[in-house]
Amino acid sequence: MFISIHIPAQQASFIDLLVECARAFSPHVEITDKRTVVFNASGLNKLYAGTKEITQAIAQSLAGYGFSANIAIARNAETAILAARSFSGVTVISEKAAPVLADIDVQNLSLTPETSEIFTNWGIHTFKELSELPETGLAERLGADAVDLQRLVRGNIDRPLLISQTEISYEDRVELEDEIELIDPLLFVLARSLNKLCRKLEAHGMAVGKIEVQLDLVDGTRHHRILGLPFPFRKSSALLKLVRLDLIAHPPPVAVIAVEIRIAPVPPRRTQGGLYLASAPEPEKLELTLARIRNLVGESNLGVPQLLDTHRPDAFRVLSHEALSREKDSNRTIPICQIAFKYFRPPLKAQVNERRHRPASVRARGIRGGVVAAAGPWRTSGDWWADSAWNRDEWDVALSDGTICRLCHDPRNDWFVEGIYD
Amino acid sequence: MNSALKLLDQYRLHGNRNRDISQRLNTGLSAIDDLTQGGFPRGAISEIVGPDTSGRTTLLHRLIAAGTLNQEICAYVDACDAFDPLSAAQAGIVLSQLLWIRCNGNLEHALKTVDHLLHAGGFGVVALDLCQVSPRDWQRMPISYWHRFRLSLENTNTILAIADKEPMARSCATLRLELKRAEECWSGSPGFVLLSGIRIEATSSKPLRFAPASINASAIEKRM
Repeated sequence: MFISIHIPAQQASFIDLLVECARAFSPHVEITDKRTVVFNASGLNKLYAGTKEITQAIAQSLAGYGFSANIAIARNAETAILAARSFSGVTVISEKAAPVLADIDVQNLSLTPETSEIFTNWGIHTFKELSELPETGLAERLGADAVDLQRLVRGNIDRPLLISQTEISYEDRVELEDEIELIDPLLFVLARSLNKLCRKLEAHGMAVGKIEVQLDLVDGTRHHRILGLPFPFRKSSALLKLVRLDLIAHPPPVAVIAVEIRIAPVPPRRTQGGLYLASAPEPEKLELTLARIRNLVGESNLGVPQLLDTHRPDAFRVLSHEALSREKDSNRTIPICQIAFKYFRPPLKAQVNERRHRPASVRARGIRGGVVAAAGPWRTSGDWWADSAWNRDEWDVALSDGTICRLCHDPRNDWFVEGIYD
Repeated sequence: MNSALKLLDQYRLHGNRNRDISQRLNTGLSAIDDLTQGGFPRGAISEIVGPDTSGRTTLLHRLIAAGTLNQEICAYVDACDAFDPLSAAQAGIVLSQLLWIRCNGNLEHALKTVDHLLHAGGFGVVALDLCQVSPRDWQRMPISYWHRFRLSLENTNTILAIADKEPMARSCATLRLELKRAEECWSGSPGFVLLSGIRIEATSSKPLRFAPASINASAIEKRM
């Protein structure tokens, strides 16, 4: 089933919009001429109840773009194109095409001047008259092209579509009449653009991989924000919340006079949930939640810890939350119970009394007591070639109040409580 | 049929507040699992309470390790930036499945973070470490947070585990374990000793159980 849309001559300059509208229904669109497009609509039967619903949806979409177009549905592309060019409104050719096309003037076909003159001399004015001519006689007098024309007016030509592969851009720009200073009113403008772009992406079976928000400011400068998403998004509401949180964290310094949004399309995410797999946070919700927490605690205080390959104490780095992943190691088991250590960051400066070169009592902020038992010193050092060099003696000490803590003694004779065993 | 309808009505009237919490996360420590009748309850608040060096963090790590072993994504809300990733890895926590949020001593941020995480849903264990929070800050903490957390957790599989010095969630907690250090173990000769571990004694004050459980936590790997 093929659908052709034909727009009036005065709207011919908006062919790009017509193609965009057609692409919302099918990715395989042929631009036949400056006023006509045709596309394969076989798959639409799965989305709509019938032909009537399909034409209604297309007419509604065209009206949304401001087109007053002719729509024709037929079994082949050429018949649909001819019907759309010749009949106003909606034309549905479900059975034989010839009776429906019978009254169309042959001059509507793209004829050469010679052929046109011959048809006029023969008294052939309509499609019906042309279709009733004997095929062999027509071939003998006018050649194979005339036979093709006859098959065309009979509605018997099947040809593949010449699909136009144009670069689709996902960007929207809104020039504001009045400048906007606050974030919330700006979100109304952003929401409209994002909704529009997300609808377009969804129609093309794509998702958002990255958003660029460019705000033109009253002082002539630009406020540029780029939001890279860890996985493809499609929900415009979730995207709007992310943009809002980002603009709250990085607001434009002065009022905004124009808004431009660009979206980098990526294929959508396809995941298969396991029946026996433990539940995990929904990616969209997680992204929003982490954006909120990031605004609360700061970007550097949120992430996935990773140990560094060094003996330096408290050596780790925090990766972005994108590193959050499930490890599928079925052989993993929990080791025997290990006592946990807790750091004081930064370490607490301590006053330590020594007896026979061993700590006898400790006093620091929140920690005070005599040393009941002590293990050490454990001399550790490393990275002497770098700025991160360390060199110290460590003691594990049990205090009279029951706390077991780790003391550090550095070469400058300073004592620190590094943390406690808990 | 009638009894089924009655049960359905009862559920609609009372929500799941009175539901029997049958889903639990087993810690792999038989003494604790026996004490808690099968592990930490899901969809509820559990508190681990005790003084310094009582094994609160050890048990918290163990719980998260059990969650990550189950391929769950867990979160550690670190109110005072005290979390040691090395200890966590030694306890069996899969670090790539752990989200670590440092609040640098800001209790309000810690509570708001937990609120956001519970509303996002899908986490296996959300651990809130309040061990280093000063008593002055506890007193300022609005009790409404705990009610909010309890309601957020209903009908979910998430465990909110809180480690602190004193009980805070009060009536909102479904499980409260009180820990104390029974003894520390040193090995080696008098001139050269090594902290080999501590023995922790745990009692359940909610639900109340008088029989204490004993756990041994090794410290050998800390010096290897």
